[in-house]
Amino acid sequence: MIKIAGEIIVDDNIINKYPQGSIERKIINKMLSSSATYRYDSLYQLEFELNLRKNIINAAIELHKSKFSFETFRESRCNTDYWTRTNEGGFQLKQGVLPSDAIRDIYINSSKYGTECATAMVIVFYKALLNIFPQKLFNTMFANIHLMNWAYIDRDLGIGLYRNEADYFPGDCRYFKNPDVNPKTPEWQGENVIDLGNSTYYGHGIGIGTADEIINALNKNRKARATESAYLLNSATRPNFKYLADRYQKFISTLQREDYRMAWKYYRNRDMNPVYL
Amino acid sequence: MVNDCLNIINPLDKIRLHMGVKELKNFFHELVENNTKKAIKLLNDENLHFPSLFILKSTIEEFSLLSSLNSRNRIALEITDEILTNSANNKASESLPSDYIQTIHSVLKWILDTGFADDGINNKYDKLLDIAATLITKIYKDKTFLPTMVDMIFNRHRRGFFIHDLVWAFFECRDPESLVLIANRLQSSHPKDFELACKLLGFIPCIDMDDKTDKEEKYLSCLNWIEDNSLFLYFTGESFQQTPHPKPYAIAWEAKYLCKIASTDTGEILKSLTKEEYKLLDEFRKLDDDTKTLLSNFSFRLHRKNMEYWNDWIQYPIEKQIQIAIRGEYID
Repeated sequence: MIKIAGEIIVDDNIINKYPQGSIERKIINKMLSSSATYRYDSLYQLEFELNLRKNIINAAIELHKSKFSFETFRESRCNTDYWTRTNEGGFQLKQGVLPSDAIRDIYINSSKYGTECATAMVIVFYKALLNIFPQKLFNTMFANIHLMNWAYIDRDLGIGLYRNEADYFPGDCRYFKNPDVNPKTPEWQGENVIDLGNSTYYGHGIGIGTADEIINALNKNRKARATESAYLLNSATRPNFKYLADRYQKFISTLQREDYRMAWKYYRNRDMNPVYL
Repeated sequence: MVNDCLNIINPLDKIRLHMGVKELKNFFHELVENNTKKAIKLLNDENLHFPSLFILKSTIEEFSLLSSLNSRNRIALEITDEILTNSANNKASESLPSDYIQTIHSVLKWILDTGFADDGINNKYDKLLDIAATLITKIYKDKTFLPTMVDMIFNRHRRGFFIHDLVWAFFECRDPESLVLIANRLQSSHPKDFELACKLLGFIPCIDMDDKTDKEEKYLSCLNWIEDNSLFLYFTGESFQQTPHPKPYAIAWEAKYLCKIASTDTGEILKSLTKEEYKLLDEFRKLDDDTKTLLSNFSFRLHRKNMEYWNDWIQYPIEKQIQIAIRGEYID
């Protein structure tokens, strides 16, 4: 069930905005038929979430197609024109570099980058937002990006772990745990993945595959005589969609107010100083 | 006599500690060329610390001394190779004959006990220590190294180096009591220690970074929480690789309600239950989360304070149990 400003949504108007078979439709249908209630303050909030989820999927596929490689934190590497590699193996935004340029560079000069799966998920979230947010808003909100799994994540992303949810949606970040991992390769202790919405997942280091394929890949990195298989956890890591929607809307309305003010100023000045004088 | 012997510092360690890695390598190289027998004797000396062996590994290989090494050194270098080359061998983690397992276990302990103080020699060395620590806790289920592991985590964090694998291995030991080792760092005067301790214990309700409660108060609340819940905590498997705010342990509410020890692996009650206890659990499971929490916490406190009252209380119908718990009777 979907409730917007307390009202249950029953009409097809929202669904019909999106083409048949689209990610947005899949998400809305799942929400509508769910036993859980999905509450939004406005239609705008819901539409923003759908848009961001679609962009998370696109950013994940784009990263998969790039030359961005898998490396452990000890071996991680980055383009030092934009980032400083920390002693921990994370990437810290360089002074004087625009966050938007630095995130874009990961996709442009992808062969210069290599890190673990969790950091890849964070990069996907930033890129998805960069696809939606005006550059000015993105650079203001995420002025000090520090990429290293979930450790230094920007509070403004509002990343949270949602446990035992009634539903999971395309664009969710999920986690396959590998409890019997070989202690010699702790990087295979689990795989963060993006749900691509077609029963496949993108996990950095493994690639795109079904749940079984991801599990098989993890199982190959278990200790000798392992007894427990890798499995998909009943949880999802998500950005705070509503908060991000509100920030975006606020920014846009401020911009519009500024535009009106500028236009008003312009016309007032023009009227007071007629061009023919 | 034995103790005196053990306290004597090995000349190779002495050179490493006082003159540095380069001097040690030069000295040993020269010694092998001039007096191979003495060089081997120094390596095989009981008092040798692992960092010296690690540093001299390439020289040992260059002069084909491996076969002359004692089993401690040979196994330590094999484990080193296995870890650093991602070799398919699984000597350190494989199920092998039990006497051999014992030997590997004791070599891993030697690597860690004599090697942890030199954490930071280089990236490879640190990786080796991390994995040796993981093997000790995850494969050999040896918890004696945990206090040193916590030292390593906090020292590295102060220096700004990689701690994630060590932190993961620490929680993977599945020992709720070990949380006290981290809680102790809440008292540290170093701000980075306090910050990290808060982060690692962020799943404990009294730990909130934004909360400006006095450090000492936070520490005491944390200890109380661990004491009250350690018998009922189970490992969830959540880690910092999965989320910024993992909850590696959760309370098994049913176990706490009945005041029975829970399995750290599953959260299930370890002892078999009576018919009456099963009945109680059936009723308990129907409650909402807040009431479950209220009832479990009350039950534990009453059980600790007055067993006789608890025995009466637990036999009441659940509605009456809840009423008493809300009023806080018997425990105030």
